[in-house]
Amino acid sequence: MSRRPLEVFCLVALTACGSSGDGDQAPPNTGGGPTLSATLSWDSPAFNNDGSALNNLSGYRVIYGNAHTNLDTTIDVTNPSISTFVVDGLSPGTYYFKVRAVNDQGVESADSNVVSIVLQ
Amino acid sequence: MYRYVTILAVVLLSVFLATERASAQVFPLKVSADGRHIVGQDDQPFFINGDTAWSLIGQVSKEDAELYLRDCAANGFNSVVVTLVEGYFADNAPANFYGVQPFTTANDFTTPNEAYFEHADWVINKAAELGLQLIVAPNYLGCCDDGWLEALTNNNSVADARWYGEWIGERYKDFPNLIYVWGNDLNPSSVRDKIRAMAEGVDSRDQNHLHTYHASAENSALDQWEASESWLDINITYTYQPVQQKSLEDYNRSPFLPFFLFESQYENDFLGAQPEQVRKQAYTAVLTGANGHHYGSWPIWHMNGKPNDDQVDWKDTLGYEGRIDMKHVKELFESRDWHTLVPDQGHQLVTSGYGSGDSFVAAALTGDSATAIVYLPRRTTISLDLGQISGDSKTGWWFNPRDGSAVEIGTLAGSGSMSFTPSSGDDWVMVIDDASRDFRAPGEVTAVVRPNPPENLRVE
Repeated sequence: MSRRPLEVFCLVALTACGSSGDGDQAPPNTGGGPTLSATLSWDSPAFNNDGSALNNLSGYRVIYGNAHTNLDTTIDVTNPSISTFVVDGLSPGTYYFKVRAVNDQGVESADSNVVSIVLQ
Repeated sequence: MYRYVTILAVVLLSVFLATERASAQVFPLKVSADGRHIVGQDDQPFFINGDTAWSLIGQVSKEDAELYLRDCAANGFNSVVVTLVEGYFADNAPANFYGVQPFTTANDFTTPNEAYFEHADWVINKAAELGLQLIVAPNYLGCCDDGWLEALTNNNSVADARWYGEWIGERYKDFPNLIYVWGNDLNPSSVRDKIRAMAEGVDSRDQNHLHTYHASAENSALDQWEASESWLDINITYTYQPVQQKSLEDYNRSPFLPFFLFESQYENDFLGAQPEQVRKQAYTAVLTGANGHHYGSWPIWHMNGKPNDDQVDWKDTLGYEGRIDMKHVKELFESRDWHTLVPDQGHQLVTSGYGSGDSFVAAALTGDSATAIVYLPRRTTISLDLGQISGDSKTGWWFNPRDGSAVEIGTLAGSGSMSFTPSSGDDWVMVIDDASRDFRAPGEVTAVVRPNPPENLRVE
């Protein structure tokens, strides 16, 4: 199997899991409203699309929005070691998320699957 | 003046081409809006450059399946033919490598065994991870008591066949990298209704994937089924004869379905095909209108399964010369507008020396007339009417299908007839471009190595 072992998920507030300080949590909401969050988890890629080992992973790009066809917000995560990320500062509503892997040349992977959640 | 152009770097880069267009953006494949081609979800033409490993799911371990699939990706293949449920050729057939049976009741298609299909799913997903399309046979019937024909005939009703199709469709509808192929080495004859029931059953649950039909040799899908069959999306060519005969027949059909060369002589198989033969088949197919081709070789096609007379381990044949050469087919055609190629059926382009049968010189011109591509299976002199190619001056190339290198002939002036003879007795491809278009060297590729995407994204 090429897939890396699943990381331990942080399914509650990030602070309960410890922050690496290098991009595993979105910036806090500065709007003063309720701060809902969504916790994303994924299986990290171990290979490039040509079958070679992925040795230069530099992070992830989390892309989300309120419509499946309009994912208009991007967060760059610069820690290649994580496989869980908390998107914080969200308002009530439906959110759709996808994630791309990024190597140290800035080359992005194709999109992951898209997931959604209703926050109330 | 002759100038040798070394494109070693390009050749090295080319191993990445198979998965350059990330599978998440391309699969599942579909038929183009004009009904002439197979395209990805990005609506770009998809050049099928396939290998054949019928027994991949049934015969080998996960580790060996992954080894094989990685080798395919590294050698420029983007498609593989496999049997979903192996009925005969695998050593443990119908059980897989691990001894797991596909059906909990023998020969009863309404009793699929979850454990068997979980293994199949793993192989399919591994292929997707590597950017490989799988052409999957859910019910390989076989030509000669080497498939599920007897079980379909005697143990399963039309309703059972429909049930199995629906089950397959429900299970695989969300897998991105599949095309269904029905029949397999068999004209439908007495089981036509049951085959239709299976295919329609899949179609009732899975509208995401293309279907085709693999008939007996010298029969294309459209020789056995009407294009109006609701489930039939694409045509495939299956011939052991000089490929241009059947390929042009498929190209000229009306009604038409996009087609590719699905099976011809396998390298080192029972007809003893050598590298020259498999190269000829591939280039000739595309130059006579095919949307790509599938290569095959012994013993990779059954991975040392039955008949058990192999003298060599399939892993030791991954480097067969003809197999390695197949990446250059894709490199060449993807360096030009291959999907617009119009076969030179009237010999307006190659006006003399075009031969026939095994010595046939296949030629085609892109839709904008900016590029002519000619495959010469052996050393012969041909005459070209340069006036068929656009531009006041042309750039000519000899492309070597054995190593992917290109030799620039130089600038060819005028629009009259000109004769050409390859410098050696090997097969060669001639490419002549409109010089004003400044095309890159034939076979030169641009490729980007990308990380695979994260998988199994979840949110809470």
